[in-house]
Formats: sequence, C-alpha cells, structure tokens
Amino acid sequence: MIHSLFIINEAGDAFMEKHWKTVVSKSICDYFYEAQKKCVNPEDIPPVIATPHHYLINIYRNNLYFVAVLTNEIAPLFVIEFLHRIMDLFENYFGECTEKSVKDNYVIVYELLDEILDSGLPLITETNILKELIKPPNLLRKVAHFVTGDSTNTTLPSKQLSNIPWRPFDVFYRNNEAFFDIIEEIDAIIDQNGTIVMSEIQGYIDCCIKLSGMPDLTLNFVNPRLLDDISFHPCVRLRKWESEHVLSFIPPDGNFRLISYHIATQNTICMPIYVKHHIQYREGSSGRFELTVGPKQTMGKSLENVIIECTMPKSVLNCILTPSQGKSTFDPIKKILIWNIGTIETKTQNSAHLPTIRGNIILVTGQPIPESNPILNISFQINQLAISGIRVQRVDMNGEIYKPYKGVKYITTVKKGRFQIRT
Amino acid sequence: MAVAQLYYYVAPQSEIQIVAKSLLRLLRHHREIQTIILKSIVFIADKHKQIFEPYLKSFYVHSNDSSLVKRYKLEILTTLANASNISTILREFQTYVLSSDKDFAAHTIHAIGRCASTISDVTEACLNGLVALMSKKDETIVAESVVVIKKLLQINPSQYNEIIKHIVRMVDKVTVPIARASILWLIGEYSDRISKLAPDVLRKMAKSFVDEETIVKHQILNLAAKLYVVNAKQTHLLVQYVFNLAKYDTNYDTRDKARLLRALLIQTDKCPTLSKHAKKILLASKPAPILESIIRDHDQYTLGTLSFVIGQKAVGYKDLPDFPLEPPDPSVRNVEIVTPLPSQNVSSRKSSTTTRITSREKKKSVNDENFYSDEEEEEEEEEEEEEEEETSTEGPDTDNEEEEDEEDEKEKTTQNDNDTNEYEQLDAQSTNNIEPEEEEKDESSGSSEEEESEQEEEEEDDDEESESDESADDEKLTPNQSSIVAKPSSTLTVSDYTIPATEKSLLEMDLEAFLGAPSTSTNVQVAPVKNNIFDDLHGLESLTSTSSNLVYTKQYDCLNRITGQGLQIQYRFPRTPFQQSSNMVHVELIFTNTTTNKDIHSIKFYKSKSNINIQGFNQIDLLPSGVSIVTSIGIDFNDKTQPASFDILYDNNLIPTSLTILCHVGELIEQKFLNDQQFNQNLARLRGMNEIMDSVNVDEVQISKLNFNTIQTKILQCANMISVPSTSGDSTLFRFSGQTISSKSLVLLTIQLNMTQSKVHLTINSDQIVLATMLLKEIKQTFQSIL
Repeated sequence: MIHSLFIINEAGDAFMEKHWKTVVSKSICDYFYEAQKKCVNPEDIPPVIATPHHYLINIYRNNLYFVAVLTNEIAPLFVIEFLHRIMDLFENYFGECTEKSVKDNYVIVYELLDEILDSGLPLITETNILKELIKPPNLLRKVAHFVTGDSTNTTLPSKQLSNIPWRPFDVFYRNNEAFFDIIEEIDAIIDQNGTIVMSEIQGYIDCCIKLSGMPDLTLNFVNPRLLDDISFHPCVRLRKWESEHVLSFIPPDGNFRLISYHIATQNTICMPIYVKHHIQYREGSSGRFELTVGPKQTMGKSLENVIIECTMPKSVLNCILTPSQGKSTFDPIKKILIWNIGTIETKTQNSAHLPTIRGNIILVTGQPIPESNPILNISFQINQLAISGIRVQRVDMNGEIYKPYKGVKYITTVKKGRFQIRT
Repeated sequence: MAVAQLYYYVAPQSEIQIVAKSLLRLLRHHREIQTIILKSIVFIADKHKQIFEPYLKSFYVHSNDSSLVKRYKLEILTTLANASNISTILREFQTYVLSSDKDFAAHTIHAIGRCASTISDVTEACLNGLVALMSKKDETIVAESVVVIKKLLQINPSQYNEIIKHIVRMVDKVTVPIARASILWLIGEYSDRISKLAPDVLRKMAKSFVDEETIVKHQILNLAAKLYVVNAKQTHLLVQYVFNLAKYDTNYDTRDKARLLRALLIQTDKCPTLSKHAKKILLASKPAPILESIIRDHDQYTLGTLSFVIGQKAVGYKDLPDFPLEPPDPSVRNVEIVTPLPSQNVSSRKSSTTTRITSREKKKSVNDENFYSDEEEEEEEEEEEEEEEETSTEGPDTDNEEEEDEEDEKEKTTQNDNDTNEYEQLDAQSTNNIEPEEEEKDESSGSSEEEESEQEEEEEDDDEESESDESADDEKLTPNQSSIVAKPSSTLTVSDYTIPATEKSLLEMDLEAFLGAPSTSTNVQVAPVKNNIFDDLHGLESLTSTSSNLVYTKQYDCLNRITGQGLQIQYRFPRTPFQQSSNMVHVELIFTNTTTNKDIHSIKFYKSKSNINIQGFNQIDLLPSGVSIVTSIGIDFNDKTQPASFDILYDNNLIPTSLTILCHVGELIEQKFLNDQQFNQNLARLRGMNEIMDSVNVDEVQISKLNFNTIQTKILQCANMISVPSTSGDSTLFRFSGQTISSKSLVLLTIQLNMTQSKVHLTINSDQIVLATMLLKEIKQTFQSIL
C-alpha cells in the first residue's frame, strides 16, 4: 500500500506531495536526499531505500523524482510500475511530464491521483476510463473556467461500464483509420575489431486506432515465427495467437502498444551501420581523432538522424574537430563529444563521400595519457525497414461495416545508448 | 514477477526455464525495474545456473547502465561462469576493467578473482591477467588486483613464487594503503620463499613507517614479528627499531599491537609459556578466504519482496510456509460440480407456463442429488416466472413450443438431465406443429409423473400393436438400439423421448399412423399431404432413418417438411475431412423433396447468421418431387459446440426460419494417427492443467466384456478418434488420439481398465480443456449407459 507520494525536482525541492492515508512528514525525504548525495549520477540512486519506519521507492524520469512512501511489505516492482504508470498518465494528459506541467495542472494532478489510488491501492489505471472521469485540460475549458469561475464537471461519466474495459462504448470517427507502427530497437555492442559482441532486437507494435464502433481486427504476419518472446496488450486473444499465429483483438481507442517482442542473440542481426575509428593519444598533450561512418546492408534505405556520442576521458581538455558532414560539438565540462551527422544516403558507397570527422584532441598537460579509448554511442533511424525482417501481411476487420484506412509503418531505431562501439 | 516467484518456489526443475525469457524481457524496462529484476536474477541464477546460460549475452554491460545495474550484471556473469564459457566472459571482463568508471573496474577485478577461484582451469590465466593489470598506471586498479591476488594466492600459495616476487617488487609503486598492507602481509606470510627480499622490504618500510596509514603500520609490525621468528639474526635490530617507532605512535591500536608483539618475542621472560609457541602463533596456517557474492545473505527472504530488495525485514513481511509433509485432507478439493442448468434450456426455448413445471424442476433437482444449492433453485424459479411473463405476452404460435417443452419435461423426469442442453435442434424441426397436438397438450399438461409411467406402458402397447408392420418393428427396436448406439448424441435421445407424444397421437389416430409408417420405412414420401399427422410422425420418421443408417453417421433434421413447405433437409456428419478447408467440419445435407407433384427450383445457400464461418454448397437447380440430393458444406465450429445457423433460399424465397446445425463435441474432432512414441511425447507435454480424469464404475461381468473392439466402438460412437497401437502389450490400457478440426490441437484419450475394482479410468489430455471436459462427459455416459 502506498502511503504518500512526493514529487521532487532536480534541485531537491519536494514541490508536490500527496497523502492517501495519514500525512507523512516531508522530512522523510531527507533519507532520500542523503542517498542522492552519495551518488554522482542521478541514475545511480538505489530504487528502494529503507528508513527506520518507512520504505522509500523512487523513480527518476524527465529530471523528476517520484518518491513513494510505504510502511509495509509490498512487492517493489508493483510500486515502481505504478509510479511509471502515473508518469505515463501525466504525459498522456499534459503532453509532457515536467515540473512546469505538473505545477500548471495541480488540480487535475490531484484529481487523477485521487482516482487511480484508493487508500493506497491502485484503482483505475486505464487511460480511457480516466479520461471519461476527468477531462484532460484544453483551451476551451480553461477559458470557460476563467469566465465562469466554475470548473466542476456537469455531466456524469456514463460510459465507463463497457464490457471491454479498454475500449469506450460509443466511439465515432468520420474517417476510420488504423495505423500500425512497427518499431524495432537495436541493442548491440561492437568491439574494437568490428565484431559483434552482442546484439538484440527489441520490437514494438504501436497502434493508433481511430475506428468507430466495436471493430475486431486481425493482423497477419508474413513470418510470425520470428517472434518468439512477446508480451501482449490485454486485448489480444492469446489462444488465437498460439494456434494460428494471428493477432486478433478488439483495439482500445487511440494510441496504445499492441505487443512488444524481443528477438534474442541467437538470430544474427546484420548491422546497418559501421564505424571506422582511429583514436590515438600521444605524449605531449595531444592526440588524433578520426571517425568514418558508413551504411551497411540497409536494403537501399538511408540512415537518418545519425548521431554519434562519445564521452571522452577526464584528461581531455578540448577537441578541435572538423566533420565532412553535419555538426560536431564538444562540451568541455561533461567531456561529451556529439557529432550530429544527419542523413547518410546509401548511394554514397565510395569511401570518399562517406561522412568523416578528423581533428586533434588536446589533453590536460601533466595528466597521464588515458589508457582506454572512449566508447561511442550511436543512434540512428531507418524508415520503412524493420531490421528483423518482420512484415505484416494483411489487416482484416470484422464486426463493423465501413472500410477503414489501414497503414503500416516500419522503423528501425536505437534507444539512447544501447548501440555501442568500443574503441 | 509474481509468476517467476511462483515458479521459483514451486515448479519442478524441468519447467523453471520458462521464467528466464520473461525476466529478461523485463530487463528492457525502466532502470528501477531493471535493478530489481537483476537482483532477483542473481538470486535465481545462484540456484539454477542452467536457465540463464543461453542468455549470457543479455547480461553484458553497457557503459551507460547505472552503477547498481552494472554490479548486478557483473554478479550474474560471475555466477554463470563455467568452464565452457569462461573465456568469453573473461574477455568481456577485460574490456570492463578498462572502463572509465573506476568503481566498476574494481568490481570487475573482484569478479575475475571469483571466477579464478571457482574455476580451477583458468586460475592461472586470471592470475597472469591480474598481474598484468598491476602494471597499469591507474592506482585503484592496481590496488584492487593486488588485493585479489592476495586472496587467490592464499587459496593456493605453493605454485606462485614468481608472482609473489613480482608483487614484492611492486611495493614501492603501490600507494593505496589496503594494497600495500596486502603486499606486506603476503611477504610476511611467505617470507620463507623470499628470504632475501623480505628483510630488505622491512628496511624500506621502517624508513617510511611514520608516514604510513594505520592498516599498513599493523602489517609492518606483523611482518617484523614474523621475520623475527624466522630469521632473528638478520632482522633483530630492525625489529627493535620498528617496535620502538610503534611505541610512540599516536594510534593506540598500533601501540597495543607493538606492546603485545614485543612481549611475545623479545621480553620472553615475562610470559614464558606463550613465547615458546610464538612461531606457532604467528605463522599458523590461515584458512583461505572465500570470495563471496554480494547478496549472500539475502536468501532468507522471499524472492521479489520488499524485504528481499532491501535485505532487511520489512514490516508485515511473512515467510513462505514450508512445504507440508502430510498431504492436506483430500475432501477440501472436492468442488461442487455444477452441471449446466436445465432451466437454461427451458428458458431458451421459452418455457410454457405454470408453476407445475417449477415444482417439477424442484423435484428433479432433488433427484439430482441436490446438485443445486437453494439459492440456485430460487433463481431457477425466478427465471421460470420471468419466462411465464414472456410467454403470456406472446401469441398462439408459441403453443407448439410449449408442447415440445412438455415432452422435454417428461424426459427430464425420467432421465438425468445431463444432456438436455442440446435440444435446440429439435425445436427447429417442430416449430410449426399445429392443432391436434394442442389438445393433446392440454391432456398431458394435466398429467403428473405417475401418469407418465402409465403413458409409457401405453407406448409399449402401441409398439406391440404395430408389430405387424415393418416400420413398427423398427420403432420397437429403436429405443433399445438407439440407447446402445447413441446415448450420448442427445438429439437421438430426444427423439427417443418424443415417442410418447407421437405415440399418443397414434393412439388417437391409428389409421393415419399406419398409413404414415410404411412411408417412413421406405423413405419415399408417397403419402398424401396430411400435414397434421405427418407432423406428429416426424419424430418417428427421423428415428427410423437413423436406425437404418450406419452407426457413425446419424442423421439429424434441420428443416422439416412443413416449415420447408415440402422441402426437407437433414444433415449428418460423414466424418471425412472437408475438401476446401481443413479446419472445417464436413457436414452432409440431404435435401428431399417431399411434395408429390411440385418440383423445387434453385436451392441455394444464402448466408451464415451466426458468427460461424460456413462454406456453402453449390446451387441445386432442380429438385424433382420425391427425390433426395446430398450436398456437402463445411462449417468452422471453431472448436465450440455453439450451433451454426444459416439461411437457405429456394424458389427465390427465403426460408422463414434459419436452419440450425448442432455439432456434438465428438464431431469437432478428427482422427489423427500417432504412434506410441509420439503419443507419449505429446502426453508429457499436455500434463497438468491440460489433463482431466474421471472414472466409471461398472460391474464385474460387464468389465470382462470390455475388449478392444467394444471399446473402440464405444469411442467411435462418441468421437472421431483413432486408436494408438500399443507396444506395451498391456491389455487393460487403451489409447486414442485425435485433433480438433479448427485449431488442430491434439486430444489424447487414455482408457485404463481396473479389473479388480471394476472401474474404468478415463483420462483426456488436450489444450482445449473445455472441449475435453465435454468429451469426457459424453464418453463417461457411453460407458455408464451401455454397461
């Protein structure tokens, strides 16, 4: 059972608190600050902190700490998941979850917190139902509130009692559309010699469904065997998947994640990108730095938003680099080099046109030469390609008469910092 | 996680590996979740190494993981290390050592140490690697490796003289106190091997003694004392000097230690007994330290709980109870089985009337060994009442249905209601019954149960009366035969019990009945269209046709002549695969034109009404009078026993009522041949939740009659399954296999005869457990009814 929730900003100011049971003094956060002080990186704070009478479970996202206070034994994963759910919900309501957005919408925040948790136990967490109960903020309501000074909801929520909990009852759209985004994230480590140390694919199917009535959708894959480790949205009929490898479901309204899957290391993945690197430190406070990036096996698709990030050792004072394409910046305090390449076309196969970056590294004089080379974090995006090769064969709809517009989009991308090249 | 928890504590060894995948998937979530999951994985991996081994690479560390995550991953890698994968892990570790996160690098070195100590093959390689690390410039790494080497050497000191010498030479370079202390300790401990170097080191240390950290000072004192014991001549003065320095140290621990050692070694006269044993005391062999996991003591808490994560007991934490050694009282497992309520059927057909029925229902429920609790009974009654209201508002059309219900009621009273839930099909056939029975209904509605038995007697008489006739002969056979042949097929039992009503009408209208009977026996309808009587006889007719058919292909009616205005449709299950689609049930429709002079044109399939996928038949252009045509349709029942209903057009008119085809559970299964081995394999896969069992009591005489043939016939009556050839030669074990037509999931049936207790044990294993339950019930009935 969650007793209280504190939202703390970067500066260590608990600007919002909510108590479901008895009021817990703000001083409980001192234990949290203590743990925070011990860690250099905000990510290093242990998620569970034990204090003499309470237990603090915290999450860190968007530069905000959500700290839940517990007094009893409870599964910590449950609390963490719930806190993330709150954040998701705020993002859903306000577009972003930052200190400012929370402060701007205090009323709604408290309303939401009251609704999703009852005396410490989660109650309604389904966004669709919550949106029925508590209307998201919009300009019209703000104006109305400003003019009338009255913000009470006059209409009672009526439709929350749909027998399919994730779908509201009377959805109607003039244009019926269903979009499926197949997003795959590569997770890989490549060592100095260019051999792949590990590689995994994490995939999602995110849907944006705007269909009237109660449609029943069926999604067929060309090669469903690829997917072996999947977690489903509750709307997917599991039996159907097991017997026919078909995703059959009555979709929730709006945006949701239909499935997320994981393709593990056994299947080798062809990397769509390669990096040639040449980094050398020399005696006498300087060094050479050279990188060349090129596409590889992208099936004719171009790499977009290619960004290379490199955390330099502490002894590096500055980098003077000239890229042949894109822009590079070096932050001398955090020692982070960012090279924003932009799009790499597949046509430029001959090495002369490949984007390169060259230059000198200036080291702090007197410091020993760093022993290890920095690790490169690469991120990129390939549109219209799912790197695992999964494809949707067809999407069928039963249960409604109209003809919907159906669209499928493939994106291969990299989650921040999950594609690393050791140099 | 909760599931993982359950598996961890309850699952047998063979099944626990399915936890791994899902836990790994959770690793893709937020950092906080990662931390907790990894901690749990450390714990599980400690007990069950094998389940995470295939996923080793998932635990490779990314440079931007949070420090806790890094540590846990390292821990898991270390735990999973074994002789086969150690080389890849060590290579991975080597890159970690170079990481810019010094703390993490230090942990890695510890991990290498642990690998080295657990896997003897690589100890040498690890040591060499660590020695190489000592020449690095970074102090923390060097210090850490020295500490680890010290521990490793302690485990197995004999072979590594070279390394010890190397370390001794390092002593000037190393500045981290704990590393210096470790080196000094090593020198002291193994001074006999480096007897020339050791005094020299002591000399150097004595020079810098004042500036050292406390821990180093202690080790210098130790070293001095040990050297004094071994080599008093050379080091006597040096030791004296060190002790004097220590005497004036600011730290009282150091002063105490110096005083103790001085008393022990130099001022021997003060405590003679102790100093005699000085050598033993100082150079006693020390037990090797054990390099341990970082979460060693957390295993006292239940996996995944708050207490487990924080490593201390949280308020409200409860330990898992131990496994009970004695099995609990089996009676607590006896769940009250609620069979489908007959009242539902009644209500679905809009029960006619009267509290009489309800009272009967009540009686019946009493008969049924009080299957229903009182509340349920009340509910039933309420339902009935509701129905009454409904029917009262409806027109006279429903009267016939009421009549039907009447018949059903009778059945229920005479028979256990187990298979009453499948009567709807009969309704379809007789929805348009008209007048004469109306009167009869009034009669029979007045009749009580006792009267019914009388009625049955009457029926017997009837049968005798009609014995002279061929068809009547059939009739008489039918009840017995059908009960042998097709007890579980409820439609047939229905027709069985429709006899009373029809027979009664026969009593009244003997002549017509005899007119009708021959026509049914020949199956060619030449009789005049005297609808009323034929209607009554309809049940009869279907009976005769059924009994004349093969055992496995019983025919059922879906459109009677009256509703179809001369067109009669029957259906049967030929039990052959449907050509167009493999997951459809093959159903043969028999169209018969029962009119005398009217041809029926263009019969065609219109559309399916329920959500069931039906593959229609080709259009029949012409159906001359008195002719029957057989067509095939395929129905995808989707492994459910829900009736399929559809509309048929003929002469461009839509038949007013849609046709309903009801599928028995046995027809949803097709034969699937498995050999003995395959059967056992699949059986092993379908254990646990996918298994249901039951047993039937039979008497001794009858069980002796059971052999392969009789059992096979029985099974084939219920379901389309094929026997599995047995290799064991066990004559009491019979096995049958099949698969559901729609989803192709296996259905495995095992029959075990228990001669001594005269019982038949039935076991069905299938994914489709609902289907399996229904099938088991039918098979059980077959065994019960025939024996």
